[in-house]
Amino acid sequence: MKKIVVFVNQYFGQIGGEEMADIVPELREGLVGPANAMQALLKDAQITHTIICGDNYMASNTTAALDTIRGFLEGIPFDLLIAGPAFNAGRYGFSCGEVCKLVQEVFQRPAVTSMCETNPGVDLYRKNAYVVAGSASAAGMRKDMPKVMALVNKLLAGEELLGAEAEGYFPRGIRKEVPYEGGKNAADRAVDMLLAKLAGLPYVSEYKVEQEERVEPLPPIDVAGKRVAFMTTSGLVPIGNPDRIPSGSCTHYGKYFIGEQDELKSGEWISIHGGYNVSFAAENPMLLMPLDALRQHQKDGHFSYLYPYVYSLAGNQTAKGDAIRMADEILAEFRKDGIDAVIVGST
Amino acid sequence: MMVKEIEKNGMPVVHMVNMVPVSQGIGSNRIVKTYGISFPMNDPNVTPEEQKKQRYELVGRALKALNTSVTGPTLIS
Repeated sequence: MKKIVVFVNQYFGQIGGEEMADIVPELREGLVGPANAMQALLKDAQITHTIICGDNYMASNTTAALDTIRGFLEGIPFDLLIAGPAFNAGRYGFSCGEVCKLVQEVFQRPAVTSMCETNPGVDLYRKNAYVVAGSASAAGMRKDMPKVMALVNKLLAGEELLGAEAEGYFPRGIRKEVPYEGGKNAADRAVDMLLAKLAGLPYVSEYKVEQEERVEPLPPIDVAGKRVAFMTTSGLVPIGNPDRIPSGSCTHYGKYFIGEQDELKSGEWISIHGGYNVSFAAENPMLLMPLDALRQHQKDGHFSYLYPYVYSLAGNQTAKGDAIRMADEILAEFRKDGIDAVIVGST
Repeated sequence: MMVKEIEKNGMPVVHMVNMVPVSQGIGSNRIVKTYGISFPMNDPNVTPEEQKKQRYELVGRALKALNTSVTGPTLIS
């Protein structure tokens, strides 16, 4: 009977929500949360333990968290680890990815997780684990679970996998040479494809080349005597949220006058970001925009001018296209004011 | 993503963020690590005077990052 360990965060571990995101890892015997649904779909295997760790704890204390979890795993016999599913939650995706990476690299056993395609964890960890393509939210749990468990069962049985697309996980960057069924050799197929492309006819690339776009760094800039702007993805808004900035998936942003002010006052600002505990920011909005520090640096001559507005949105599950468009719009405004450099504050 | 788009269009930019590997993975070139996800610019558990100092120091690091030569996504400490 194969043995499985499941890893979840504080929410799926049924400990609490954002207020419990700082909990240190704990090891529980038996099944917690989604482990129950997983067990029902497992063939000849038993989930023996559930490890729970707070999303913030893992993000801010990654080495310590992984050391603790490694200690847990060293004491338990197990054949495979399942993490998540993380859906579109960025911190949870990071957390699941790190644990899966630990299991595959240190314990050399398979680790399976699931995330939505737009989760930043996909690109970061798909080479370190089996990241099954999943839904954007927990509403998709029932749909995603059979896919995850089908792969888990295959891995446990040592069955040959049919490749990323067939098995439903994101490509891991592993090439396997397979003889092409159908007669024509690669040279002939390549020429056919080129002729089709030249003629403007449709063609299907056999291998999709995925590239992480890199931007060439600009040279360093000394901003003494220059004009600086600050913008934030923390969801900082004036109390009342007059522009109705949503808690996530933003397609618009706010522009708030800070003029010559040298601080942001508690009670006048809040954060509406749906992805972290915003109570700290309510007490001190300068946790999100350090206006007093910016002003002091300006007075000390480290830059000459601070753009008199703060652009703000909640950078929670922002669609890529919207992020690019909004950045372009904001940049155009900065350029109109002769801004030389931008500071982007995130959470 | 927005940081990358700003730099792509020729504007110097620095990213103040807590989840550094995510920022690096996506490709922000100049990165400064903040105190925490829910409290980026200072540790809320110290005295107000200390918090103010932390904010000043962190912004200083961001300005220094702008003036640091990098060849790719880099955490500047």
